[in-house]
Amino acid sequence: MKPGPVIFAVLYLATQFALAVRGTLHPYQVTHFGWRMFLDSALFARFEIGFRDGRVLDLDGIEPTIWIPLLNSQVDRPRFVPPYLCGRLPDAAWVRVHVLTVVSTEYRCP
Amino acid sequence: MSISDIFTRRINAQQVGFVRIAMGVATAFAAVEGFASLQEFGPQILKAAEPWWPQLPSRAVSIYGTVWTLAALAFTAGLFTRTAGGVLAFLTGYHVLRDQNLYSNHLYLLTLLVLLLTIADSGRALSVDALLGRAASTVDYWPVWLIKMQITIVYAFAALNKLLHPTFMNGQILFRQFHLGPIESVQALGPVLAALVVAIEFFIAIGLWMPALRGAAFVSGLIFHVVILLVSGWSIYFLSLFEFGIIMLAPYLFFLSLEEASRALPAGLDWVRRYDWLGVLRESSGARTASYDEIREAFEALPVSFLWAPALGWPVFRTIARAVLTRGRQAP
Repeated sequence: MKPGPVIFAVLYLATQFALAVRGTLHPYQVTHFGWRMFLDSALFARFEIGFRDGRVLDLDGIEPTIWIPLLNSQVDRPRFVPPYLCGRLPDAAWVRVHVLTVVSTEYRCP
Repeated sequence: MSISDIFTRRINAQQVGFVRIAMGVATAFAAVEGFASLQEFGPQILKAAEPWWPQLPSRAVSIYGTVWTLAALAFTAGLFTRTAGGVLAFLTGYHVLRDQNLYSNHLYLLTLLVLLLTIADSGRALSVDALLGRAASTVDYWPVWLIKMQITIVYAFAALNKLLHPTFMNGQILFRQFHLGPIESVQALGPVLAALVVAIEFFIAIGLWMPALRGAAFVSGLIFHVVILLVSGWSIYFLSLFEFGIIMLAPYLFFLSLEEASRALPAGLDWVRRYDWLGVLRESSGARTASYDEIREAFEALPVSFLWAPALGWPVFRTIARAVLTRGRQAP
């Protein structure tokens, strides 16, 4: 039995377990390398879009081709989704990001 | 199997070559997915893991993408496999570390598997390299064992993380992320569905290692990933999940013991040989008609059918198939 493959295998598995356990210990933080499929999206629960004519809609109320790409749970949503929605919806005035039950940010469309 | 066996044993090179082809195809899909996401959100979405991490100049992005695609094609074909695999793992690994906003579990897993398949010398069979005289019938088993461990870690921690996450266990995430049709109107089903998902993932993680449960784990995994695709709706994310299905399901092949010429090809089933890409089947002596179980076992050794063939052993399929076979044999 050669030592090289054994050392590599031990280091590989130790790293994998350590990264995965780190993700498990921090359920309410976005952590990478921890196999948290579909869970990080729970941290950014909902978006509201206010239009210039006074309407307020959530993502279900707008064209599906606009919100379907947002299903990718890996994106840093509070940062990138509001400007993206403003760009795709010319009549939007603002976008609110609800994190769990707290309104965290309101982005004013340019 | 002892620890020492893991590091001294060899495995059928064709088995490893087949998984290499699947991963090469998935990496080519990943290139398309990565650039489609960039096009959707714009390059401003990219965010390095660390400020000191070297950034690609915007002019080099197209070169980066082209080399990634070419390396993926070469890895798939098994052309200069070790070099192609090394380049591919480096480029996909750079993407995983460079860009934290489009971080993808799928690409991270793919990077790890390409790296391990490169170490496993996966170009020794079913490859251009093999045609050029670098063929071998077996390769080292230990990198393959690491791939099996990696797949297990993914399922086990995916299940554990969901189990410890109240928002997942009440079903909210499932209802929001997937198109579940009429089920969505019955909110009480949310916790039941969530528990089912967790149970399936734990079952696959354990069942893959246990011969008595392996067939059920294969079929569960196949159904699980197909259902995820069916309820995800069409988008670039669909492509991502399709790619993830390939990444997770192809390595199931490593859980089967498929040494070269290790299984008899049942008489009267010569047509099956054209799907025997792993060289597992040998000529059977005798000319009697193959029994139902012999047919099922042959299917369990083929790359095109190994995931669903175990279901042929379930009583419902067994009864139907026996009736069909009996009727077929009685026909003039």
